[in-house]
Amino acid sequence: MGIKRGKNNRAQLKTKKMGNIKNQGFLRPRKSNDFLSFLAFNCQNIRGQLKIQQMIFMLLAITLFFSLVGLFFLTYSLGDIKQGFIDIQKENAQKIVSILSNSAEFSCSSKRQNCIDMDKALIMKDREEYIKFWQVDSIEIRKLYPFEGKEIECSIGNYPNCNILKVFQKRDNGADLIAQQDNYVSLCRKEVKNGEIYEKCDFGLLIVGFEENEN
Amino acid sequence: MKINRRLRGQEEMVGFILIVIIVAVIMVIFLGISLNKPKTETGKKSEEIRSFLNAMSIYTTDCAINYDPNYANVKDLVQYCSRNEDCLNGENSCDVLEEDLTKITEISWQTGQNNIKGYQMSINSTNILIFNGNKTSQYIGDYISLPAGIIEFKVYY
Amino acid sequence: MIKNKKGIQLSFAWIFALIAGAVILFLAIFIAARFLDIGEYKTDTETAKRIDILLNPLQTSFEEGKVTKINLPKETEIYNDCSTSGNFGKQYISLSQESFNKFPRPGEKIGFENKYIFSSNIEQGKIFYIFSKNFEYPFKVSSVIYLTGKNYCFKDMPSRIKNEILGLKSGGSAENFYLENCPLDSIKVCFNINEDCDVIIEDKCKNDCENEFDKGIVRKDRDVMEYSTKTLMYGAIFSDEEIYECQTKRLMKRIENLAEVYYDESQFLSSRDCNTGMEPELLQLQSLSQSFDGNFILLNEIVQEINEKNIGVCKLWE
Repeated sequence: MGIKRGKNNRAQLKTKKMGNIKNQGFLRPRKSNDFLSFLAFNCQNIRGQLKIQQMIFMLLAITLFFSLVGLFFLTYSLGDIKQGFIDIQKENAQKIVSILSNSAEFSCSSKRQNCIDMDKALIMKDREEYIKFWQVDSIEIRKLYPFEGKEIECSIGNYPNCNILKVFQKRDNGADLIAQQDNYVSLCRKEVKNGEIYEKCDFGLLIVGFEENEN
Repeated sequence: MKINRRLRGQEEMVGFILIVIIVAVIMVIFLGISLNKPKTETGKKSEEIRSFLNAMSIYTTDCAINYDPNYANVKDLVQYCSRNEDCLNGENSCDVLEEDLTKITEISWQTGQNNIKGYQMSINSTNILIFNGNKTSQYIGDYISLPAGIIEFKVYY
Repeated sequence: MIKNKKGIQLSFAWIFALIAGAVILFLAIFIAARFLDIGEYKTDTETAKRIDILLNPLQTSFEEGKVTKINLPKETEIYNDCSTSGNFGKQYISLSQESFNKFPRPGEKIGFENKYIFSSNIEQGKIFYIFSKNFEYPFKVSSVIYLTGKNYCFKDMPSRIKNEILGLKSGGSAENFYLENCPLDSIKVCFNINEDCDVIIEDKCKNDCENEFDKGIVRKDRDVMEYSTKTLMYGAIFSDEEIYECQTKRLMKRIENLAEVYYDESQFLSSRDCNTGMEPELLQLQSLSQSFDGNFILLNEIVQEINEKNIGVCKLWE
């Protein structure tokens, strides 16, 4: 069974190039001492193996290339989705903060937006029945202007000479809060001067803390 | 001839690698162009700025008009400032208004933080114009209508 | 031994072209499928987003009088469940979308303590109308939400209520409210008239109300629902008796808590020389709302007294 080396036989199965046992002794060179003939003979024999190696290299390169493309595409699209999710969460959190500042428990008037009755907010401090009501982790009110120079937490004893009112905090350690959303509000209270009572409003911030996946 | 036949596979490999490199370079260029698109000027209303303006307009100043302690809030003070009236303590209402608005905006919108490059506040019925930082092509703004004028506020990013 | 060694020898360029072509074809089909709106996930996400509209933006005091119309892609059942347990009770909402002419079991219930939705126990349709009103009794308690998918025909209304309905219709979204040329399937709502009406509203004001129909009774089939304030009147019109009673009880729980807050605030202000004089009435309001059984007579009296006292610089609410 000889192997005819013609055009028809040029493209042969890549896995087999052994050919005629009689004529091809890959591991057993001819007894001829012709070194060049030996080389030529072996080069033809190992052509198939070269082709295999080339094919493997090419497939590896293609796989690597398309995986890089795919990785890049995934990173971009996932990043976009994640940003979209974060934007929706932020939007929802902003709405909840807005609802909170206009709710009956904090709002100073149904006719004024973003106005908090500080007297009422002080009364709301640490009311246990409201802890689950708002579906938030913490509520804090900070006076931004005028500022006393240092941070003073509000209590019944030092009010209104203070600037941080922690209405409630679900977690024992406030540092565990994952996300916070805030809203500018005016902080209004009843003030007495010269025997007259008037309304005094400061400028502040309502800060609401959320768990990451609550909204 | 033998040399040519031996090198054919290598020629094909080199050709293949060249194609891959060219495609990769084109993709990187395309990506670079799409990420570096020049940003056009945008003016979006923001809930945050709306809340800021609402809260700021009710702030009670130290300017008492008519009698003590009838202190005016920002809303009322804009009206007095447009008529160039003075407070009971002798200060000009516009000076008090400008000072308070400057401090409130300074505390609330600190340039350099949260990508804020600058801000501008103006009241159309007065000469008050508060500006800090730098103007850029991208900003978020809103306004509030008061009986005596409009307060417009823009934050530049 | 391989006898036939004929085969195809592909160059690397061909192989690369084939593989790249296959990948590009796949991407094209994938992108086309995404844009053709085949996925169920997109429908569910849109529906969930629209229900989010229902639950959030109507809760601020400045959204009152605005009707929002929700268009859903499929026939949907919205389940409204209400519970009075706990400090504030709870509002549950869940949905079920039509699939092969059937409504499967509704999805997971979403619960809220700070929302009050008046509607039938099950509202079915593709189009729903939502609007809100503030409930003040005597102070602002909360915004309440009305949800309906049905058509309503209002007959012989007093002018104040007519103007209110016209105000809702002026936004363009309240297409389900009719004052004339009512569709045959619409629910007829009549004021003080006992014709062939589905819902009859009886005015119980006897010179003790600011406006007519501020308090009264709503009759629906065999259900009789007593109300006080127009906010609860609309609640009785648009919801089942079971939901109406539950939501009213929840609102009373909120009033109870708010009355306690205002009582404490009143005492605090008194210590700072700002006397309201409302402490006894606020305590009574707290007690009456705690024991609310559907009867508004005593509550109306105490609310009126409190309103008369909430004046001056030391007023607790506006």
